[in-house]
Amino acid sequence: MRPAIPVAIDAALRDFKNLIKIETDANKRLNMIALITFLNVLKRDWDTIASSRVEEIEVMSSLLKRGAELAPEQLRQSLTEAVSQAEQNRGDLRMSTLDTTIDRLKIALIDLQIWLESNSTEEGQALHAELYSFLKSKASRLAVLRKMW
Amino acid sequence: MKQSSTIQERLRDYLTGNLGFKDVVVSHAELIFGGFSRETWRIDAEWLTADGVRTEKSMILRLDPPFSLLESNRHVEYAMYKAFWPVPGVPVPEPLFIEDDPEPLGMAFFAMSRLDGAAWPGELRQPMYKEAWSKIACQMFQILGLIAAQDCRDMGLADLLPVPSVDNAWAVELDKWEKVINDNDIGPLPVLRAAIRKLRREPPPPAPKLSVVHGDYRIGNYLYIPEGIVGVLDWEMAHLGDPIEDLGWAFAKNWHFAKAPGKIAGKLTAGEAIRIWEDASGLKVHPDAMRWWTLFTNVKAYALWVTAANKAATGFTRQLINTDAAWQNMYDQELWMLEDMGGVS
Repeated sequence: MRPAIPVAIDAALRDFKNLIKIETDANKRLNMIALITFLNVLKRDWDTIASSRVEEIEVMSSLLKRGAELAPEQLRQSLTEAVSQAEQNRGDLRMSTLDTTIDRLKIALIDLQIWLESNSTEEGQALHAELYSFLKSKASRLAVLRKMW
Repeated sequence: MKQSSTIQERLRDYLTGNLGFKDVVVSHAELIFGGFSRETWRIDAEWLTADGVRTEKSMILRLDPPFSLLESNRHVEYAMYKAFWPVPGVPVPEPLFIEDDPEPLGMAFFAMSRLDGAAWPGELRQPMYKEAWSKIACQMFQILGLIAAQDCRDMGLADLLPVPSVDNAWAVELDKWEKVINDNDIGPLPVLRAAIRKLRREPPPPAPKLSVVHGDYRIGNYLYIPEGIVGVLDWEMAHLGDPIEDLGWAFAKNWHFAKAPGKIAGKLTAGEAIRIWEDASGLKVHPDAMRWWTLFTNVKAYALWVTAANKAATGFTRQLINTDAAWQNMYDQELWMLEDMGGVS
């Protein structure tokens, strides 16, 4: 069996980290730091690259379905349509398809956010808080948080 | 990118042919790292001026880039060096000359005197800065206060730059950066759009005055030595507006040290930095203004990452620095943006 991708990335990272120690050119060092960031993210996300997207689609669809129950007719239709489109693509695990689905759901999510911002009902505020919690959890999962100095 | 020998020859020809200097010798030309927005050269040259004075200059040439994360304006940056060069307490390099014609060096450029000092913030961890680091952090906010204290009209900058009112300075900046984001569309961005809506729903109080705003005032954008800060650099995003904007940018989590989380410039609490700034500027920081500009800082920084992501995604300039700016920063910024939004509202 070939070495798994994270193993190969590990080997590349070790070599790059050694190379960067002896590199004196500032531009080349910055490019190497950039490459190391990219490889680290790839290594971190490799195993869950499809499953995290599938999960994201499921969570967003669930939020939109709940939003559709609360929203006025026109918004309800567009939220329902977005969820329905996502369900049609279920099973297609190509990254490009998953990312396209996520983008479509995000557009609906923004519409829902805008409506929730002026909705003061208890259910509306609870859904709004959950939506923010989802966005924060996603940002936390994908943040790099590597300080330059 | 040009070779050093080519730059030496072309600069010698420029100093002779365009500026009328005689007996020009360009003895050294070295491409250095000067940020992402411009190609930067260190040059050593000497010449006889038209009135026969022998002059030696170590200078920095800042050449226009084919692409930058910033819509940089050479004339604005040069004008800022000219405006602040005579101002006591605000150290900047001496502006030397500016050239719009790309013919002489291959790109339009300007030149300023070279200052000795470190810019990379990591240097502050060296033993030689053990005592000086805190002083440098304080000086950073004294200088920023002095920048805010200047009268931008007396400096002639109101003739060069758009002049917002104290009431709409925030809107001008928010419109500008939202346009950058729209022009560099990378798809739907729920966190960013929510932050922009919140900023519009809850505007800040009027600016305490209309000031010069550096626009990128942070550690890394000034030169320092153990005796203190010797030059404030990178004025290409400078404009007139609310001086609290610079405080928000200087405080951003993006620039914090790994080993000093929450500390501004690695040493100060936000309260300490604000007090120093207030003493130097004679102005007061309204907490609501600080909150607004802190959230705005996330939007502005995000606009830079979106620009980089767009340029890489569309193949306009698929360089590692563009992919890195996006990969490294976008979700960090979203996380901070959500924190600074303070939850649902």
